[in-house]
Amino acid sequence: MNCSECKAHISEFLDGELSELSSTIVRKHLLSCSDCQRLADEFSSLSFEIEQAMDSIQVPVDLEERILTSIRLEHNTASKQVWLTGLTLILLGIPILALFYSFFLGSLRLVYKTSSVLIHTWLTLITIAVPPMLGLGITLVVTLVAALGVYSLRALLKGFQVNEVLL
Amino acid sequence: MIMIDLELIKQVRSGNEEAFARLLKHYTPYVYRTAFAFLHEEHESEDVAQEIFLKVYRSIRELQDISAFNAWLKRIITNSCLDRLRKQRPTPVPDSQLNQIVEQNPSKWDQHIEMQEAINQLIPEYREALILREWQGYDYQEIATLLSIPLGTVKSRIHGARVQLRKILSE
Repeated sequence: MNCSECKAHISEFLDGELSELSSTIVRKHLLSCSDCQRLADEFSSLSFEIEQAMDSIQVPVDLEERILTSIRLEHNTASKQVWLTGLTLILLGIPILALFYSFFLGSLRLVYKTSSVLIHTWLTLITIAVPPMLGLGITLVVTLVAALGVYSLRALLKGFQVNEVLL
Repeated sequence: MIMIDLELIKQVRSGNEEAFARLLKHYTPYVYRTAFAFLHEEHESEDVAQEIFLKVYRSIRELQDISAFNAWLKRIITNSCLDRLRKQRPTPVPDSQLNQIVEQNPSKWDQHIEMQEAINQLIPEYREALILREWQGYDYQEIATLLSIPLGTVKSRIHGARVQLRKILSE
């Protein structure tokens, strides 16, 4: 390795970004070349000085307090918005409910009747077609699969929210 | 960046305001200094610091693994600073021209220049790569991903930044 090759790779060497073999070659060259060794030393001390310089940046004294105040303000505004949205929904919902209450009541009755029929059919089939223990097992498995489905959907939606924040 | 007590992060997640104030006190210097290193403007840095803590406040409950809090926060800080830089800088300079620009604009500052000022005199592309490496401790591959540039470009920017910085400080 000559000096220009060594100097071209010196930053990668110091940052631990070279392969084991390349690092050994650079290290060997540095032992035999005072010029390249000086550059390596200068770059190393630069790293230290940069950190020192960053640490010496003066932080405004009341910054924490101002950030905290702005976050509290945002929190209060958000809470007020939640209340306002809830109130608006209720105020809008009451007339809608009054207008379509027979439809909603009918829908609820339909959902109740359908689920009762489905559960009744399921229990009858399970009791007639398979032994009781196997029937219980199948019911448990079906319930678990349904719960897992709901949980996966929730986790999936949560995952999307995290990505959104990070982006 | 020194890791904070995990118990405190748990308290922040549960909505404890006092815990959030302690977290804020612990991380404000690092957040502000990083923003200032990137932006070099007091008002902008304060604004970004505020934006970062607001993001933390809003989304800390979404963090799945609290032991990864430091990495998560560091990513929010970096992305917020880089986003602000992109808004400030409409057209990035092609890498092939970075050296020429420095050569065309010789500096006039005196021999006892502070490191902070010297870093500020670097071309933005060099400065951000150097800060990501030296101050934030990202490796080359992470920097390539954060800046959406090839690995080879990261290598040349970091090396170029050090060469330029050495040159500036020796003038």
